[in-house]
Amino acid sequence: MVEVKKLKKYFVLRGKGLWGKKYFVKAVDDVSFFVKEGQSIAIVGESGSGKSTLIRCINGLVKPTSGQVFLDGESVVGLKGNEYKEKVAKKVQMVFQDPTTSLNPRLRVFDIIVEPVLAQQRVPKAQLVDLVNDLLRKVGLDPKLSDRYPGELSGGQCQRVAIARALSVRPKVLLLDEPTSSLDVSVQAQVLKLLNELRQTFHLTYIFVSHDLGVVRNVAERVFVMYLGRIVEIGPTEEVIDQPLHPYTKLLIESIFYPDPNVEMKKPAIVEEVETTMNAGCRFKSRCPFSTKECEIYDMKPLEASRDRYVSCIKWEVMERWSS
Amino acid sequence: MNELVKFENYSLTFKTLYGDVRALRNLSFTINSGEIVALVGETGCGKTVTALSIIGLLPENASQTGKIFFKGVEVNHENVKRIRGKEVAIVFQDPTSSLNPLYSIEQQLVDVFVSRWDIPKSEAKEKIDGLLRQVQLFDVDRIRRAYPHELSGGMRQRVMIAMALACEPSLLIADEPTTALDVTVQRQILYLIWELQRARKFSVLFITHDLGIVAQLADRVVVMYAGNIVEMAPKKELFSNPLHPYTSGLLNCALDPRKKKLPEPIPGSLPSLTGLLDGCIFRERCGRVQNDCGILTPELAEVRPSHFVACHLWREQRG
Repeated sequence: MVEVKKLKKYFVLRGKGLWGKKYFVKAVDDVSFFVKEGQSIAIVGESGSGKSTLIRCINGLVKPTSGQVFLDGESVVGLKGNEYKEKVAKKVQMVFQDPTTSLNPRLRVFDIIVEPVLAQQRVPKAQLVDLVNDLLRKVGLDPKLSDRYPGELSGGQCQRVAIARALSVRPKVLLLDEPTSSLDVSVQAQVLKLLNELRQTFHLTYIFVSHDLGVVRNVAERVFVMYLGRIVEIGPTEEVIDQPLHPYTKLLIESIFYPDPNVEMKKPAIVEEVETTMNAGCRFKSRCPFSTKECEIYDMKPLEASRDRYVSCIKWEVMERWSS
Repeated sequence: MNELVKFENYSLTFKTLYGDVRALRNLSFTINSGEIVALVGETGCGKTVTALSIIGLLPENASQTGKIFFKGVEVNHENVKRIRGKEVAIVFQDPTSSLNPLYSIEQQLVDVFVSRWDIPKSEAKEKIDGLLRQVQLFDVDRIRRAYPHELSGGMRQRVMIAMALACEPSLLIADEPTTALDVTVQRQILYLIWELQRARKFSVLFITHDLGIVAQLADRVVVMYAGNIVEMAPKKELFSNPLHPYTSGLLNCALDPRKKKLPEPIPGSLPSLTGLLDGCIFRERCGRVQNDCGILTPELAEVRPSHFVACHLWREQRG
């Protein structure tokens, strides 16, 4: 359904002054993966790891520096106008992190939801009313809310409107950029339940971005762990969380606070602050307790650890033997 | 254990154009010295205003009834200045907006020392190195000269904690100190607070909505809903035996990455705080409503040793 090949996105920055030296921030660096139809995958990582840039490359909000994105087998990078509408906008829609800023405050809920539809084609008004009422009911809102403004709705309601808007063109893929991180726990639970139901009814493919592994465990079948623009580990959600292989994934999982009062407070592994200047070799080496000379020349090519599991660490086998 | 802070029937109302917003209703609870109390609840339930009430940082349209005692003395407009920034220090949610961008870290830390201890600047400067090392900022020379934007989020929050420690407070208020930070940094910051608290035995009022953090950090938990305390108990007791339907709802919403279990959401949303409601504030979302819930406001009562709940379901068991 969605395939990404050797995708790169470098942002150019300048040093001090007008003639300052150019340098690159490698937000996404040589990332390849595919998502099957109907699958739900999650991309996890810290802020600045490139996860949002990656999914924005898929729907064309960010133009990649190089590499390919395929939707249904068709290359879609750099499409414009009608071709973009036909091949991308109809198939892929996005739900953003903060519902209060991703909805136009001057449009009524009705107009917000029909905007993507009208961008595609002309539709008679009566048909639009039916569509909006139907969508609002599907996302668990009262159709009466359709003449309200976003400012009159709560955060959870706004996020439901954002989901309804994304579904209005019947896409096959939803890109969800931390859809619940700005919501309260009880509302987060409501939205997650809704997303799971909608996936069944509309046969959707989900690409999630999240930093909350508790959320990921409940919505995703596969996890991609990203670190500074690179995918460092891929695998089924349960396996990655229960037996992480990459030292960075291990660090992430050790950082979780479990809602269980019997877990004792333990000392975190001392880790250096993230290095932003990129040298050759493994991106994680400066924070990794196991790094050696070999890591400085390793190109982070994914290694197959077991069936369906890939890890970008040359030491993973050594570490596994050492820890068992 | 002696009581450090005590709220007694404390209510807070904000006068607004749309009517009175009853932000806090009849709060009664204590923070003992040397314990970590977690204040848990969702957005708008009154966690932050509860904390700000202690140090008198409320906006002008607030009117309060009831009493707050600090070390046995009632807090009022005059003596609050002797508490704020001295006996009580606060670490806010967003370290970026709570540090002054125009002053270096050194200048800001010196200010704290000078106003708290009334010592000359030169003496204050000598104390900074040790303080920064305590919050595990080892690159002292650079950080002294740095301006807030030159530091990462985690480092800024450490500086905020350093400022709080400079006051040598008996109560540290931490208002969601890690929500703006990454998970790996979050664990470091929370461990730092926990370790410092164990070493110096000050009290912590920890405000959060993350039950995972509560489970590991807190000694005692106060659960708030729409301006009311609905339940209060020691941590293990609360997690293993939640009595209020809202608390069990919250616990069912918490996601545990170790197992796949879809959360069970609490239906509905927060009630408006403007109306004066009789009866239980949670009744519209509660799955176990009885007749009394619409008429009588349940009072917080001790139904098991040091386990308090405000719910009619447990009325018979009251001692």
